[in-house]
Amino acid sequence: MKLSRLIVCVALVFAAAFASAFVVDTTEYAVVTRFGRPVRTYTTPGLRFRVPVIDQVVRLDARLLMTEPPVAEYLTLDKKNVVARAFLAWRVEAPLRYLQTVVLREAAEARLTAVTSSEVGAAFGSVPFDALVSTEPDKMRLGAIMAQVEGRVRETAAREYGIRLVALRLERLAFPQQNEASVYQRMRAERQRIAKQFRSEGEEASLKIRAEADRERARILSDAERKAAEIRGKAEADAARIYADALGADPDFYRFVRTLEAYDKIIDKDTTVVLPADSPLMKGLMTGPGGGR
Amino acid sequence: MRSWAAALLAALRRPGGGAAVAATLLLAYGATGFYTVPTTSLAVARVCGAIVDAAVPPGVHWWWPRPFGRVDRVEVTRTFLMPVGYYFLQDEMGIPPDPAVSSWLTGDTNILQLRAKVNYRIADPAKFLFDTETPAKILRNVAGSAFTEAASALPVDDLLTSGRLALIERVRARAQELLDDWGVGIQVLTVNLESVEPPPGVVAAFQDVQNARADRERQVSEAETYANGVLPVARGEAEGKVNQALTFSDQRLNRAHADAERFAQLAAEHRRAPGLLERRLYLETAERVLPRVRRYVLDPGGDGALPVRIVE
Repeated sequence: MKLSRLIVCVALVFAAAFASAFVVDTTEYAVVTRFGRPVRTYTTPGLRFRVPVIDQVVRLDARLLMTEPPVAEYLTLDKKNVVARAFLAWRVEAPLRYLQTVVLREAAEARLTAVTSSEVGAAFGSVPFDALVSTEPDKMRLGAIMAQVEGRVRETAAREYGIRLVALRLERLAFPQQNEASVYQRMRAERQRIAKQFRSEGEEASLKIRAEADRERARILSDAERKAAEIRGKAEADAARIYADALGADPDFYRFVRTLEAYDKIIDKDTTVVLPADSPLMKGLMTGPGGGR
Repeated sequence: MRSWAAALLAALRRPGGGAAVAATLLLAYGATGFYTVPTTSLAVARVCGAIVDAAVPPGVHWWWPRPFGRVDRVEVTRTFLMPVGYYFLQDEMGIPPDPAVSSWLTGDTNILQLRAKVNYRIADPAKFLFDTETPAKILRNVAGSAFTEAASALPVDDLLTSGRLALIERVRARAQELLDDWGVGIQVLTVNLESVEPPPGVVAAFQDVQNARADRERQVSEAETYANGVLPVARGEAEGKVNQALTFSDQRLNRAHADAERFAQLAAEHRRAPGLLERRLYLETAERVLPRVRRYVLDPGGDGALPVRIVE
C-alpha cells in the first residue's frame, strides 16, 4: 500500500506545519514565550514558526489605539474649576516592556489615564484660568500647556510601559455642571449690557443726525436771509442814488412838488381846512378877475 | 455520495490518476482566488498578514486564496459623515444631546452649542484598515479638539457671526494636519457648521441683542429720513426768500427810475415856464385835496365876531 503510506506522510507534515507555523498580521506584534519567558519578538508581519507545544504566542495590538479618560475636574491657579475631557492616541512600541509592565490593554489605559490626570492637574494648577481660555493671544497658552503635558506623559509612557504616545489632546474644556447657572446668569447680564449699549448708541446717532439736520436747516435759512437783506439794501441804496441824481438837478422845484404830493397824502376827509379869504385860491373867487396871481 | 467516492477511487487507481486528481483539486482551489474590485473601491491584498499591494485598482484580479492570502475592499469614493456636537441616533430619536457633548467654551467664557458635520473619505485604505483601531472615533475626537482649540481663543460674537467661515476652515485644516501626522488615512473633505447657538437658557438674551442692533439701525434710518425731509424744504424756503428780495429789488429800482424820469420831465417843463407850472400843480393839488375835507374860508375883512361862512 504505497498510496496510504504517502497519505500518512503528507498528513504528518501538514500537522507539524500547522502546529509550528503562525501568522503575524500587519495589525499586531507577536511575542513568543517559552514556559512564560519571552524568547522572540516579531514586529513585522509574515509567516513565523515556533516549537509546537513548548512555545506560546502572545499577540499585541500594533495599531494606533485610542483611550478616552473619563471627564475630570481641575482647579486652576486662580481657584477656578474647569472640566477637561482629554483623549490619547498611542501605540505599543516596545512589546516586551509593555508585556512586562502592563500585560493587558485595560491596565495600560488605566495607567495612561492616571498619568494624564495628574499631569493635566499639575499643569492647570500652575496657570491662571485665562491662560486656558482667552481672547487675548498673549495670555492664551493652551497649546503650549498641552504640549508640555503631552511631552511629560509621552516620556513616562515610553520609559515605564513601552508605549509611544502619539498624541494627548483636549477634546473639550467646560465649566462644571454646578457652575452652569451662574455662567448663564453672567452671560445674560453681559447680553443685557450690550443690548442697552446698542439702544443708546442708536438714540445717540439719531439725536446727532437730527441736530445736524436742524443746524444745517437754520444755516441755509439764515444764509438766505442774509443774502435777501443784502439784495434789498443794495436796491434801496441804488434807488436812493437814482433819486438823488434826478432830483439834485432842481432841488427847489422838487421841494415844491414833493410838498404838494405830501398834502395829497396827509389831508383826508376828517381834516378841517381853514382857508383865509386872501389865500391865492380864494382871492380869485373873492376879488374877481385881475386880482391875485 | 457513494458513486462520487467510487469515481474518485477509480480515478486514483488509474496510472497517473493521483496526479490528475491532485492537479484538478489544486486548480479548483486556485480558482477561488479570483475576485473583483468595484469601481468605487480599492482593495488591499495581504499574504500571511503582510500587505503586498496596498491599492489594488477596480477590476478582476487574482490573489492567493485563504488561508494564505486575504483581500479587503474599501470604498474610497464614498463620503462618510461624522457628527460633532451630537449623535445621529439620538438626533433621529429627538433626544437633545448632553451639554457635555454639545457645548463649547468660548474665549470670553461664554458657552455655545455647536453642531457640525465632518465629511470625510478614506484616503489610504491600508492605514485606515490596519494601522488604526478606530479611525472614525479618532476623527470625532480630533474634530472636537480642533473646535475646542479654536473656540477657546475666539469671542462669542465672532463665533455667532463673522467668524464662522474662518472657524470651520481652521478646524478642517487642523483636523487634517493631526490625522496626517498620526497616519490615520482619512481625508477631511469639508466641515459643515450646522448651527451655532447660545444655550436654551440664554437664547432670549442673545435675541434681545439682535433686536437692539436692529433698533439702532432703525433709529439711525429714521433720523436720516427726517434729515432728508427737512433739508430740501429748507433749501426751497431759502430760494424763496432770495427770490422775494430780488423781486423787491427789481420793483424798487424800476419805481426809482420811473419817478426820476417823471421828475426830470417835470423839471424840464418847469425850466421853460416856472410860474405857470407851479400854479398849475398847486391848483391841481387843491382840486384833489379840498373836495374831501371840511373847509372854512376866513374873511380878513370882518372883525370881532366869528366871520365864518361855511361853504359846503
